[in-house]
Amino acid sequence: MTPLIRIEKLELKYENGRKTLPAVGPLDLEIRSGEALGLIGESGAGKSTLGLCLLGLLARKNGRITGGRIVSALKAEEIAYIPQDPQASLDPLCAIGKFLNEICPDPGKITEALRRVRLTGERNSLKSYPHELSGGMQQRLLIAAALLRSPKMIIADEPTASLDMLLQREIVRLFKEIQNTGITFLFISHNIALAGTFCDRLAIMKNGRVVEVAPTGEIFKTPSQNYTRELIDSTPEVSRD
Amino acid sequence: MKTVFGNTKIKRWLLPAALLGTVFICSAGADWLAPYSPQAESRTYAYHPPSRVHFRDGQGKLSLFRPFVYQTRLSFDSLRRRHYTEETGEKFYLKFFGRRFISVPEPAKIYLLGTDPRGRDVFSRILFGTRVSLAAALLGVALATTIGFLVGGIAGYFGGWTDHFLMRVSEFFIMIPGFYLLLALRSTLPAGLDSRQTFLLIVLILSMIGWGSLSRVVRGMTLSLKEREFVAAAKVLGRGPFGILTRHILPHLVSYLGVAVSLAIPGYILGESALSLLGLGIQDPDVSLGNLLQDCMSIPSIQLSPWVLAPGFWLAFISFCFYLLGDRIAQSGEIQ
Amino acid sequence: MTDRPKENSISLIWELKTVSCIFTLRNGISGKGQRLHALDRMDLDIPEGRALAVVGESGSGKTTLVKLLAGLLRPAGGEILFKGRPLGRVLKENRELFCSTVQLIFQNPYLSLDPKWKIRRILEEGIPHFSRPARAERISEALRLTHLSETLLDRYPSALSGGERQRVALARALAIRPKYLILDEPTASLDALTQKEIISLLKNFRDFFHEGLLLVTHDLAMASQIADGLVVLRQGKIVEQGLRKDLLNEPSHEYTRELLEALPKRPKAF
Repeated sequence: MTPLIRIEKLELKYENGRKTLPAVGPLDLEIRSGEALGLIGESGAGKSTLGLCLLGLLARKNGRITGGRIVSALKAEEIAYIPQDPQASLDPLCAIGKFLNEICPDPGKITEALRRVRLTGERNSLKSYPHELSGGMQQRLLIAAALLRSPKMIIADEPTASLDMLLQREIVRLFKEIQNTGITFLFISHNIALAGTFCDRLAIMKNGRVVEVAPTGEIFKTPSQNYTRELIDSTPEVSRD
Repeated sequence: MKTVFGNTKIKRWLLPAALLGTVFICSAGADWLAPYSPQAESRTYAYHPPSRVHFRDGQGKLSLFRPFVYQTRLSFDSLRRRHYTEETGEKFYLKFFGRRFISVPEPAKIYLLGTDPRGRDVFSRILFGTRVSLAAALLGVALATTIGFLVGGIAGYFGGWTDHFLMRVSEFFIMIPGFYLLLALRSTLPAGLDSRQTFLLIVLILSMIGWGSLSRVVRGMTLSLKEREFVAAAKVLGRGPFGILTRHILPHLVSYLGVAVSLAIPGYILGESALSLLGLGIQDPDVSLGNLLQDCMSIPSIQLSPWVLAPGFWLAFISFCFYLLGDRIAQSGEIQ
Repeated sequence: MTDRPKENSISLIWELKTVSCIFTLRNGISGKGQRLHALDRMDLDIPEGRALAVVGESGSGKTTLVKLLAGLLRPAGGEILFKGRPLGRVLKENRELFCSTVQLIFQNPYLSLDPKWKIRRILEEGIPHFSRPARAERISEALRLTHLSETLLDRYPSALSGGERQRVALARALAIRPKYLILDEPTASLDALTQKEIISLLKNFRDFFHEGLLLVTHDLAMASQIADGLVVLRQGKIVEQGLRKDLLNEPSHEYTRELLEALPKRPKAF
């Protein structure tokens, strides 16, 4: 089965003043149709940069592809993006209805998208503003916005970073539901345990390269790299005594 | 987000630094740069046009490195108009870097920008006048900024009744049209003051107009800055309000204040000039850019001796320099 | 004005009596305000000598509680006592003493350090009245305890990573040698590996603070690693509190159970 996106020996660099810093590479990775792939690594590993690259938004960070290639069966419009910080990504002066309308002017689709993310009810009326919603609701709004594009793939960049445990679990459940409708997921996170509850495969990134990629169960049972082991260990365990 | 470092950063500041440096050198070094004393009158040389400096003598011989002037003689034509004709007998060579920057042996004169109706060298007067006007403006701005920062900072930080009260006071000062406030304040005070007192008075009056709007902006910025977490951290660490204002909030205002100050200075110079022009500020025998322009108050004057407009152009140039500086500071504030 | 000495054997650092804190959310400029009880008539005793954790989801009032305890906020209702005296009075009369006894680590290390200050100056902020050699000694000690190198002293916060910044915040507090430390979600903005570092540092420090430690977090697992007493907060009210082992092995409230459930299980590996 041909993968949806194949990344071959990709190298990304970005400009910082006069310096050119290597961000990613050389990197090989496959994203298969219909799967949920977790991209795990600590801050600075290059995960977000890779995500932006797939969306064609590298230029925003003054980055460019300096080597390798991406073979993608998808057009850029077919990939939706859920950004990291909902507070920073939503225009505080733009009401929810207007925000969603700009993405897709079909009121029927808007209602459907809001229903899927369970943002229904009086408090979430289309006239409310982002700051009236809680963090979790803002994140669900961004997911609805992503769904409105009828994407074939969604890239979620640390979508649960600013949320507490209960909300994290809810969001992840929502993602699972969405994945079951056939949408491919790229889930970028530093939290391997959380990603493990949802993703089919995990790709571990360190210093811009993929050090290990395998199905979730295998990664946890027999991690081949020390770094992966470190990541797994970093999840605090409940100490009950 | 490109960070600018190395050459480019210096290039950005080069132009404003050079231009402003020139202005400051002119005012600070007036004693040496000016060929004549600003009060030196000469009835025989009134309304004298700018001296013609020659690089080539009557025979066509080049004298590039030894420029000279001729002595001039006054004559009146049939319409009683003045003419200064050159006496091409003796060459008087210009002396550079002597007791003065440029000088010429007597009885020749080097009036680089001509003379005014009382025969005083305009160029020298401009140099000395810059000193006074600039000093008044800078002191005025410094005072206004200090008051504005204190009032705005205290109002923004403490809020409540302090805020209400201080802002109403500032509104009062903002409301009154600046120029009329200038005149009103000036007229309530004794007319016959010596030059030093007048100078300080002008500084005080100018700063009274300016602090109001500055304090409001400072208040707004303080309101938002005081919510920042590092301010809360400072409180927990035991810092008192004054310490927080000066050590945490003020540094974040510097970029704005730098721009505000740079853009305000030309206004202050013009304010002082306006007062002096009207006879309410610096008066004879002291020189300021304002009272230099008194000679321009009539069209016949300007027709007879257009070079008396020079101080006006110089004023415009100084204003431009400060605007340029303000612009550069604003730009550097954005790149962060 | 004599303070009645406490008769109990365990002395209490803070006592919250029916404390309420109310915020008004406005819809636009002219909209009706909605009053939210960040803390709803809360009674809480914080004893000396313990590591305590307050756990709850976002909006439960954890951060409000922290600000109240540190004196950054005043309660709308009820009163707070600090070592038997009203906190407001303590702050007015003995502010210096309070600040040298209680310190606070903020949630977001990207915001709690003044970006225009060098690290050295940041570390010295709490100890200005000490002589130069004394300050230098305390700073060295604090850097050593937080595993930070002295080369950082001349840099600005922007040159440091999130984890390093949070350690600077810890060092800043340590330099004061407070007796009590409050931490507000100290690992919220940090990635998993850095979180682990900070947690292990905190475990080492636990005994440093003679009078105790208060950790506020939404991560029950992290709370259990550091604290022996737990308080579970929900929508401004205390839902359950007790010793770690009691709460986690036999949670009596449903909400506590939900929180335990929500923890991503680390699959039993190798």
